[in-house]
Amino acid sequence: MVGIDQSFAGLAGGYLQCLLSGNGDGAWHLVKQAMADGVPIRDLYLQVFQPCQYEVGRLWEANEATVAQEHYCTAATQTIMSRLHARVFSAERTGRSAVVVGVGGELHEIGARMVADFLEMKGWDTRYLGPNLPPDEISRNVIAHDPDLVCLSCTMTYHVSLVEQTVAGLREAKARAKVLVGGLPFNRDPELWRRTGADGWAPDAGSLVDWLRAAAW
Amino acid sequence: MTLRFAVRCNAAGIITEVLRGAAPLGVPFLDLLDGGSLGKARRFVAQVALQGAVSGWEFNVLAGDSAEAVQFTGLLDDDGGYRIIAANLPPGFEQAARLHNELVSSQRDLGRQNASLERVNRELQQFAATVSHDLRAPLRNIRLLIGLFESKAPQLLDERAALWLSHIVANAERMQRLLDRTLEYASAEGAPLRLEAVPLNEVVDVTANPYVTRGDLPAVQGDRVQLERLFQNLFDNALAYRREETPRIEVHARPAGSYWRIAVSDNGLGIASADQSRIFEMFGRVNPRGEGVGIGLATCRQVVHRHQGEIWVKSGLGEGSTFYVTLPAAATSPELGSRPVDGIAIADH
Repeated sequence: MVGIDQSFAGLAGGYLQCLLSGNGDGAWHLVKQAMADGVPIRDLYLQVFQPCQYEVGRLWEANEATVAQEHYCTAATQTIMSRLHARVFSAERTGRSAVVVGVGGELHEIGARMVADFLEMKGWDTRYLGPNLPPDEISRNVIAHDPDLVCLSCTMTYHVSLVEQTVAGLREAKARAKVLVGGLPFNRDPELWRRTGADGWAPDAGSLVDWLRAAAW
Repeated sequence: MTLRFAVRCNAAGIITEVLRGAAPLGVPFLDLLDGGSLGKARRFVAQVALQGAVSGWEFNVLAGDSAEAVQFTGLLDDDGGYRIIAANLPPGFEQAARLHNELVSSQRDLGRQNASLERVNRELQQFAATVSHDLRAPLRNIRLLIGLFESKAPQLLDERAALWLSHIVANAERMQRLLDRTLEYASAEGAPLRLEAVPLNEVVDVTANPYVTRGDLPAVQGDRVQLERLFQNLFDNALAYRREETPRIEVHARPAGSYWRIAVSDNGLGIASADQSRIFEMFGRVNPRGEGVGIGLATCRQVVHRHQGEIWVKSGLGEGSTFYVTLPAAATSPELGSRPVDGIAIADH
């Protein structure tokens, strides 16, 4: 697996093997054990869940994993993430708020959920709107809740134009929030975000909260 | 799986014939695919050329403004061209994934609401603890000053003033009890449970209440201090609402799955059925003239719930009351052979 700290390679490898063999309980057991050993949630997300998702994507590209396995891995990881909620949501509140939303009805929601969870761990109040809202609905929602930040996620290249429309809609509605975009197309082409009219881009949830810290948010 | 389309391509990968289904003629086969699948599809074509036949490759096929995963089979022809058969994946995959996403979203909403309720709850407990703690000091001073008045300056009091002063003392004592119990309630919620096998015989005996008789009681899995508080409060409640005759309180136990059901019966005033639902609420006093302050049974319910048990009452006006409490059997309890999970036995009802 690429991009992970070697001290997590064993955990991430074991976790992935569990998921590829359909053993969600085994994967949860590994996560529980890691937490008991003091592994922070941030590392579980960035050093285990995220690289495993990328690896499953790579295996699909290499024709070594099927769509069914990919769905199973995603579903099992999302279930495990919801079992961590008690800890994710327990941070001291900062008064900041964010709306996190996907575009185009995409099935791939896990990245956006990670972003929302990372903001929660930093004490933000987040509203996760899922992937099914059209741009004008997103604008209405953002105006109604007046968050400090809007995070837009997309996984498929053909949905980048929807991100553009959504940003344009938010600007037209004079939303106060900063708008950040993320997802696979932006990671493949680090200049692509500029086309969307957004205020910035983050390659993953960890970079997003680092960016916010650097911006003194 | 159902057939989506079957086409023939020339060696350059251009679709030259549509054998089944709908597909455009004269365009590269790769144009049918989402950009994210192109690298994989090129390897597929190379494998077809190399092996003659490959199957079970999945690509995302463009469909309107989205894409769908489709399974492909490739067969090499003699002229270097190839046939491609595309089959739809069973529709259940995607639907199941969408349903699961919705489920996870609702879990997330519930998790957030739960965390927010817990925060509010903690703040309220903190508030109750602080207020009751801080109010005790001035109250102590009031009682002290009244005592001084009575002992040092009795000549200043006529009969009426002495009566009023005694009412002030009674009210101050009542307020003291109210504050003590509020503080007890607020601090019990936050205190961690120290679970161990606790013999209820000892818990009942330690209250040294002359009106209590008990059968042989089992050991339960619980926090000794909190269980003592539970029984003390149940006994106090029975005495606070006693009748003229000598109070009598009996404690018995019987097994209930992996739990014990403890019954605490008294011969007191009893509770009308209409009032029984609110006696476990904070300040849910039924008889405002009674000695109780309306927190004791709320504390009982709190202790029992923290032990994963239940509490309820069977009573009628003038019939006495029986309070029932379920508590998990001690992990080592040989009578039941219960199977404890994470230190707490699970009810099988």
